[in-house]
Amino acid sequence: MPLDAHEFTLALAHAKEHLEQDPTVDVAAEQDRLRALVPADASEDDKRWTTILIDRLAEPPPAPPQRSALYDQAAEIHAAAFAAEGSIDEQIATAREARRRIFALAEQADEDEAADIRAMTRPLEHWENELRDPPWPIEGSRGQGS
Amino acid sequence: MGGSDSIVSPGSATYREFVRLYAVASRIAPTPVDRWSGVLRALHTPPGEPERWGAFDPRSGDISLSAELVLPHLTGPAPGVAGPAQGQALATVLHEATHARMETDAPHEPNAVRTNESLGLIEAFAEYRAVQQFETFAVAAGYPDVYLTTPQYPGWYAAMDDLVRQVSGPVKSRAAFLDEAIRGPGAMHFDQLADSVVKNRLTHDVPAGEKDQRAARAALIPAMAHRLWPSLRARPAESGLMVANEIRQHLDAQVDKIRHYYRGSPGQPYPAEAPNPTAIQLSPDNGLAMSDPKGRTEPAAGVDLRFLSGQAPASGATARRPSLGQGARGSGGPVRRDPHRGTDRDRS
Repeated sequence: MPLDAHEFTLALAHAKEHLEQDPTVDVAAEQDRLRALVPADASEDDKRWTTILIDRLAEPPPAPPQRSALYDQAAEIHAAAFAAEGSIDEQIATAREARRRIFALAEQADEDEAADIRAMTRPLEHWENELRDPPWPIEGSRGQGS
Repeated sequence: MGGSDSIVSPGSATYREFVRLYAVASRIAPTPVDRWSGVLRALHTPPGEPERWGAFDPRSGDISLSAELVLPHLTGPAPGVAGPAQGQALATVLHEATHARMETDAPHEPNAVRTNESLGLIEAFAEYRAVQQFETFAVAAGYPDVYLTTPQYPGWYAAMDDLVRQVSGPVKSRAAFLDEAIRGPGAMHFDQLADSVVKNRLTHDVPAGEKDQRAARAALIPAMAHRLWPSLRARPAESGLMVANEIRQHLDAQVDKIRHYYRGSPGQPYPAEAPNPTAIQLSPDNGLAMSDPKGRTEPAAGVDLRFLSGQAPASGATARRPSLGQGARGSGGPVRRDPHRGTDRDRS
């Protein structure tokens, strides 16, 4: 019987939620429940990845990394871009400029942090796309003050 | 938008790896919709332009991914350096798969929210899903050492995470909300959050019938559709918290009003104004059935008109009545696409 990956994923998320909410939850019992969802004749690949995730339940979550001033600066630019007033075109221009500035900051950061700083532009880029071509009429209009 | 793109050859290793990753994303969280055309485009950034991560184009069904930030990292399972850049690349795949595998709009749903705030929530949810399911996705896809750091700054992820935590509880967990919202439609995300509030905080107050449940959800939605959703204020240390606290106060107040109303045994649904009254116009009183987000069906006319007509809206409710133009995108109906079928289009 093949693994029901959806059922496993949902059960894993529930287990993580239980463990986060109540540190006294029996981790081994949660792991047993998850193992029971993996059929004995599941594929070797499915056994491999489910085992990794089940084993990790017992590991403490990694400490959040220390962030530099560059990260904080980029975060501030990110937040300010969403607060932009003005027409849709002006909001698009603001988001675009914010992305440019955030990428410039990432250039100065170390390699690990640079990726996470660059990633701050992903929501801004998608927001720009939504403003350009919304799936329904939105407040404000192109070229007009909102 | 700047930049240019080129079609990634279906015969290339990169294309095959993307198809595999897209399938993994679908396998761990199946949805009733697949809007991807099967076309993958590589985004190239001209000199001097800010790079782009990627996009799902609902008109063509094509997915575009950065030739610099994403595609080079889709290497497939292999030992090697698994740094945060690869993590962000895989997160982008999951983000775009989230958009492609759900409808955005739900014009026939009375509780659909078709506003700027909803656009923000849709993007926030795609980021939230990318973070929440990242580890399962990456490990299942054979990238066990790739990691993604949870965003440590106020923004859409933080706001979404806080909102989900606020509405979740013993009856409907965070995991259950995530699983439901992945199926979309995006315009129903606020309704899905409101459903968590009704199930967790109003279990014994609101009757189980869909008319009452839907009306209660409609009354709760304005409390969450904070005006700052798409525009979290500057001063990051305070903005996310401010929005969260305001939403919490509004939600608490609305929950109290609904509870008080039903304790009077009113015999009719809470007098809420549906976020999308145009759904009634789109669904004429000709017996056409409307589906609700859970997949059940019921007559369109009747309850929705009744709780919309002539009754005072819930205090604090925002009466948003978007003018729905004929050019609005999306049919609202489920669409299935074969990723390998080409570029057939179903949207105008």
